[in-house]
Amino acid sequence: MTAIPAGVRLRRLLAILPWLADRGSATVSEIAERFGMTPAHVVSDLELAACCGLPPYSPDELFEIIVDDDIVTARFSRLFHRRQTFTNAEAVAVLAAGRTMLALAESGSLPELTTALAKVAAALGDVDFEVEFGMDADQASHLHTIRDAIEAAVCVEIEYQSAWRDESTVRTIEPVDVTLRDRQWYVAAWCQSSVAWRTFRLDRVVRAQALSDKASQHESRRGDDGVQDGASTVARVVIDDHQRDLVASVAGVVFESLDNGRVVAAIPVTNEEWLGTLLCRLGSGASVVAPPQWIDLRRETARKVLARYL
Amino acid sequence: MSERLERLTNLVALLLDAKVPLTLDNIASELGLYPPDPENRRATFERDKKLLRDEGIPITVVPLDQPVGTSGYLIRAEDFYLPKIDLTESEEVALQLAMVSIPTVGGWSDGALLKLGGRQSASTQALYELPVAPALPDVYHAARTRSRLRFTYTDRRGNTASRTVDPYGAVCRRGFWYLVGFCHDREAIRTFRIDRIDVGALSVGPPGSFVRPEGFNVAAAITDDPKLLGTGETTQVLVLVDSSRAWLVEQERGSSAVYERRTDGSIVIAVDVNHVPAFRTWLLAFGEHAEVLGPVPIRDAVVEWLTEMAT
Repeated sequence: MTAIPAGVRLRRLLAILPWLADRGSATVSEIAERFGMTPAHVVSDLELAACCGLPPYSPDELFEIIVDDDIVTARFSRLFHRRQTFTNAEAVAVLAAGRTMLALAESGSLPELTTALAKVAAALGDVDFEVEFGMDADQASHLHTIRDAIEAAVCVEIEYQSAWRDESTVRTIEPVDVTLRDRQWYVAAWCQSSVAWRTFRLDRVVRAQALSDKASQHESRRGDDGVQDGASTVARVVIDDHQRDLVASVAGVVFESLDNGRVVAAIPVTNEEWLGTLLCRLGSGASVVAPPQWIDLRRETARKVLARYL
Repeated sequence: MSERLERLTNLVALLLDAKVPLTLDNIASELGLYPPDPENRRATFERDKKLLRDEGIPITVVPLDQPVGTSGYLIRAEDFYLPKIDLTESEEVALQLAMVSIPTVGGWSDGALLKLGGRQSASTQALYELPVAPALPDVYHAARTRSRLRFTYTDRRGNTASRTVDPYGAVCRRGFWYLVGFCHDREAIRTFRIDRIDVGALSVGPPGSFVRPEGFNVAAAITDDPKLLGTGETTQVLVLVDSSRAWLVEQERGSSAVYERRTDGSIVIAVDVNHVPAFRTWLLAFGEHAEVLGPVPIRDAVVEWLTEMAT
């Protein structure tokens, strides 16, 4: 058996005991699955706990835990009969997860979670901790349309606005997944219109309508996790550390710290015009080191914008 | 290892059952599991105490008069047990599901999930990983107990300063956690990004040291718009946006901000600005598709910036 730190074993034990106390008995395999342990660890830790208790550690002062074949029976009257309290970090995790789940669901669709959270908040002391995704009503409605379509395996017609090609297009897509990454919702789909896998940003979906046509490509999607509208080229841009925020929301960006305190951002670029504006925003401290065709892009873009004012 | 688990389990039981604080001598003689040599015994006990603290089991240390200079130890039931929450079985399952679906980065959810009775099934997948920040647990604790926070903060321009803040609450927005509270240094409600708080230089004051204003809405209080984060006067700036970007700007700023609609589909949008660099960053994202019409000093500032960029 590999050695598991005593702290981890204690943490699990103190979680299992009140759960068992509440239940009376359970199978070793159920405990193992719930608490993420091997059955052998469940047996060894519970057998050890059966030798623990209070002074003078006479049989009547030991914890009443019986491991018999696959069944564990336990009874506690005084100690460990109630759940252990949350650490501050755990309390944040519970409240934030619950509130996020509610924010993502259609309102009123998770009544048990709503009441459970209210009880937890009442017990821990109510704190104003909110999780937001900044979705407006249109986006929320598109998201539900697309989610329902994934479930029903049907196609969706979307009007999609490409921010960098002055146009919107109507496409028929077969959505397979909706994901949140950092700040944006993305829809992964087989795009029938471009006959390719595409990832669409939800905030650029102007309209979404489920069709009755069945989706056909669901099974063929394999490990394509890139977020892009088209092929991208990676630009390597040297920036100051405090400028990371400006770049951090770009999908697929990778940062690499330099010895001089500056940072190289490797930015996947699908559109040169967009990169040009980013460089103007970053200012003259930022510079492209590769590829060569973009080294002068900031100046070119700035001249173009400047032309409007002159 | 098993020996240590046995000692820890018995130690928690003993201290939790104690009616009066127990000295290390008491503990050692009751448990019989600590080394006899005093120095070694103290070191072993201190290690156990630290481990329990790290596991969220705070041992209360009480200075004792008899014998003089010694400490007594106990675990208070209210520090150890979760307050009674009468969850129905389906409520418990709903919470467990939420924990599995929306885990935090860094595994904070794992411990909480164990305490809630583990996971129902191994097949549920995570929908979204919640971002966290090192100072978040302390901010939560301080907001809950109404304790004043003192910390070192680095703002977005890289300036570091000490701040004293009454934490009213926090919001996770666009992947970052923000603390909203009354800043005693600025004598005003301020927003702080929690990941910019130096957790090593953070202290939590005594509980109940402030009162949160009645009906205060944390989410509404966040200054969401960096163009308004400055300290100067707010200026209304008019920006002409081409038809190709008009929809985007109108969606972002709201239709009420549209000052004029032109026949070619372009719009003039009114933007409140009191932090010109943030405004410039916003404006330049539109490249050659947007132009500042006025006032003149702001237009000149943009021209000056672009001239520098162009050379």
